[in-house]
Amino acid sequence: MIELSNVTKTYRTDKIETLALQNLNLSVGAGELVAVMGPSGCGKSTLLNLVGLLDSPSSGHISLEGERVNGQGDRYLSRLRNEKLGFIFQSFHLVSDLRVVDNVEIPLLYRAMSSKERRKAALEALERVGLSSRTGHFPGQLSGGQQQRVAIARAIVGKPKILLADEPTGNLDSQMGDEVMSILESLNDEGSTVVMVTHDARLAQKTDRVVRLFDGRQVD
Amino acid sequence: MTRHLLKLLWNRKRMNALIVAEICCSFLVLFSVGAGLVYIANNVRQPIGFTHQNVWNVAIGMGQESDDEFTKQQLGDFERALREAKSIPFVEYAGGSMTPPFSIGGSNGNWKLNGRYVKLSFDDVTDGFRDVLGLELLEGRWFEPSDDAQSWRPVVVDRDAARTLFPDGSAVGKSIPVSDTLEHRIVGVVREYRKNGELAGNDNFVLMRVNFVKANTRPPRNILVKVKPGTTAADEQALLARLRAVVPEWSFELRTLEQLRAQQRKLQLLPIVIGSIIAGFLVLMVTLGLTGVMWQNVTRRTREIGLRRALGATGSDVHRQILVEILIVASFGLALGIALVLQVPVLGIIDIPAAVLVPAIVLAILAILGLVALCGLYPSLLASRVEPAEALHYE
Amino acid sequence: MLTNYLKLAIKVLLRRKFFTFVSFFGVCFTLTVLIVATAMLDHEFSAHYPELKLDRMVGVHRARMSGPTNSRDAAAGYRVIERTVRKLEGAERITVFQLHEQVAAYQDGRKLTLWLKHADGEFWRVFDFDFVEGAPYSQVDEERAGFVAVINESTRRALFGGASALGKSIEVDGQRFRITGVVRDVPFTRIRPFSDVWVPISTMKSASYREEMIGSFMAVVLAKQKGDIPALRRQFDELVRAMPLPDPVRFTRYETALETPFESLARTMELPSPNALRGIFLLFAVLFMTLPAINLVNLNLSRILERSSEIGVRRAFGATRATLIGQFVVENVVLTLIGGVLALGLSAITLSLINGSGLIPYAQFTINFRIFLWGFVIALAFGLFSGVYPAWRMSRMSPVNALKGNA
Repeated sequence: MIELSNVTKTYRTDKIETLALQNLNLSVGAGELVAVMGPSGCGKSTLLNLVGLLDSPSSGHISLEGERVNGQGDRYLSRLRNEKLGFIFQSFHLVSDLRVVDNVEIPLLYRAMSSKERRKAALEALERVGLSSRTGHFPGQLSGGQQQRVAIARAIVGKPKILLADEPTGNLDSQMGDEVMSILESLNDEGSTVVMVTHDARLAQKTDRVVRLFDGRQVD
Repeated sequence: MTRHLLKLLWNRKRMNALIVAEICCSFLVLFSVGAGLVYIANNVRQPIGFTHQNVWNVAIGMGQESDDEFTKQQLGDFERALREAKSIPFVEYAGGSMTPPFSIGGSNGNWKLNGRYVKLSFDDVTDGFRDVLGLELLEGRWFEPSDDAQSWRPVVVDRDAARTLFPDGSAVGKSIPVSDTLEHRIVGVVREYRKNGELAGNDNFVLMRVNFVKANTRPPRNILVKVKPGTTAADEQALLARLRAVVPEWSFELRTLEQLRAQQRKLQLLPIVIGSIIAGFLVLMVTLGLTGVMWQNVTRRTREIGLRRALGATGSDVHRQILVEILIVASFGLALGIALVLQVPVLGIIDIPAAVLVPAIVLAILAILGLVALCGLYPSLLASRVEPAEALHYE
Repeated sequence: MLTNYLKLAIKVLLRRKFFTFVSFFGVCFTLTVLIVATAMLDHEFSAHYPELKLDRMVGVHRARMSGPTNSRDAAAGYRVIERTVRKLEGAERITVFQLHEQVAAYQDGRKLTLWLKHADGEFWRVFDFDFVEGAPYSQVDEERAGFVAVINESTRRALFGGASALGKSIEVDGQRFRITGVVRDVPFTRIRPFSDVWVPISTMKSASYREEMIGSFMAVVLAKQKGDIPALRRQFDELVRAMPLPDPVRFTRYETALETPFESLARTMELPSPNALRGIFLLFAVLFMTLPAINLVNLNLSRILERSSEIGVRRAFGATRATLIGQFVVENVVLTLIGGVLALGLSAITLSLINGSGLIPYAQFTINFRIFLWGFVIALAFGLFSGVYPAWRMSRMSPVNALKGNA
């Protein structure tokens, strides 16, 4: 499903060159639930950005479903992000001026789709995360756990094969975190590939595989 | 997508309401200046109907402030002065006028005719007036000395007045009800006479004959002379000396029509020039201000933009979104502004002809859309360059 | 507290330079237009050369004689002035003069167009002209119809170059006058004293002006002290009422008043009171300020949103709403006041451009202390006008949301 071969990422500022990832090889199979762990600054987020096509590697190759994706143009990458990937962030990143249902519809805006179909898909996704009763609220009127469930609904509304979660429970207490985790697990059971960056060893245990990073390298 | 943006804009209505208000005010400013410019541009394309080269105007001070106060003596004196002017060798033609071309002020009024109001401008002129200014006769005839004996007062109108007064047929021979006591009958139509020159609007002009034989005729206050080319200041002084010799107690002031025209043009252009300068600065201020507001808007929404990019929006999607957003807000401002402007003809505050109203509105709309697109240029570029990876990790 | 506000205000201004520039641009432009307009009004209606004793002056500027069918509206006639103003008791001085009129003067075959004013001898003692050379003509010249004239500096330059004009003569409108004095140019805005050439009234070509009820004359009464003016007005109104009208069939009413130029303008515009005219000026100023104020409010709101976390922290550490409002209003007022100082400079430049353009003859628009004060008041008003709403919005931000950064 996801293939990284020999991926190196360096960040350059005027004088300093920072090595974020070094010769990383990683393969995630379809339907896998993988946790990425490691201390702050080890390159977890960089890895997720590369897989999420938000950033491109300095060297090496990345393929999704066998298609080589690095080096492609903005239009191609945007379409891939839209169709194949779903994002979940630590700080939710909901648009505060849009109601819950409108937030969930955002990915569908960048596809050719009628507004009726969009609305239907968004309501289904919200039902999937158990928030059918909150569709008309603004994000500010929801609890943190609810907000993250909205974000999950937004991630799955376009039916992507891959879900990328960056510390999805990092801003939540353990009970809410567990709720969110169980949704991710059940999505995984239904066939989604999930890559999750986390600090939480307890959550990592629930995954199929744990990738540990240290200083830009995979350690086991 | 548009509906999505409308929702987004509606939910930020407090901020956007101010932008709508700003666009609306800017539209009103641009419309006002645009209307002035269109009005002048329309006028300049029309002929004025007379030539001002080598024409002098001698304004006469008769010692009375009001034009309505006159004596039989003054009428006789005026006729003698006019005859004296005509007898000077370098004078080709001479004529009298109450309010000569390019003079400030004039006589006009609304007259009820066949149930509707017609706006007319008037001047009292003598028989020599046409030759001095070279008016082109289209129909009928000009005044003749034999008119002295008529029981009615002969008038000559310009073509606009003829068409306005009698849209269905020839105006010659018809009478116009501008006086209760004396019949005013049209004897001829001239192609055009626009007293206030190229920049001023069209006026339906009525030239009324001065009859020196009738005792209660109001004497004109100006003598217009067409002189042969190549005259000097000494000739002006000579003309004035001759006139003073005829009526020593009057004061005479000589200006060429060229001077009067230049002076009037200055007065006509001054408000529009000052208005344009102020409007220009206002628009520059608004452009800079909106750019700042949109820039800040994009900065504040970096995360939202990053998110959209992550969810599959291309750089140009985001670029377009920012521009479409501001254009939507601007069109609300424009709609409000147009609604306000249309109240002017509806309420009848000022009579703006459609030939001015429509182009001025169109110009102002185009200017506002251009201005808004200009304001959005840099901020939307910034937005399209947002790096989603950085934007989303930025707390 | 205020110094803290000020320091903070300066820091904020330096932080986002583009915003600061745009704000200053708007403020400077707006205030410049308003200060220029104020300066022009000030030069029209306040005490300036040569009307230095303006607070003790009232005049007759306009009159109207009306009847059942006729109405004549212009300046007063000489006869009316003789029978009313001249009869006032208790005034320090009274002068009668004509409206300026344009006349031609010929000098060595060259033609000059000049403004001519007929004025009596007292004219020179009511108004404070600066004589560059020579002296005014006197009331004796007026009584004896002496052909003497006072000219201004510009006319002397045009006629005689740099040479002295004393004793030389000038031909105006076919009459020849001996020049007795040269005065500094009077701006066109001073309608009452303005002219290029001044000559006695009695030299007018025809004596018919003496019989006019409505004509081209004005009069100015100089009171001994400001407090005498109401009594003079009452006396004047009484004299006008008692004055017989020459043609009581056609004309039944004569209306005129002893007033200041500002009051005259209000009456000419048929306003109920001079305060209504002040109101109209104020309305124009407010209307003009609307667009710049909305622009500034928009910029200010943007700036506030940018600073939402700062505001959240302040609120969290105990700043009250009032403190925040105070802080922001002070910031904005500081901005407009600095803009006001720049605008004063720009206004001075604009005014000198207007002076040099010759649009208004002999314009001498300057920035004086009074206009400086007005500028201060306008800047303050604009600062409050454009600062209060953003400040209120800022104070209404919930500290929690502000800290989250999603305002």
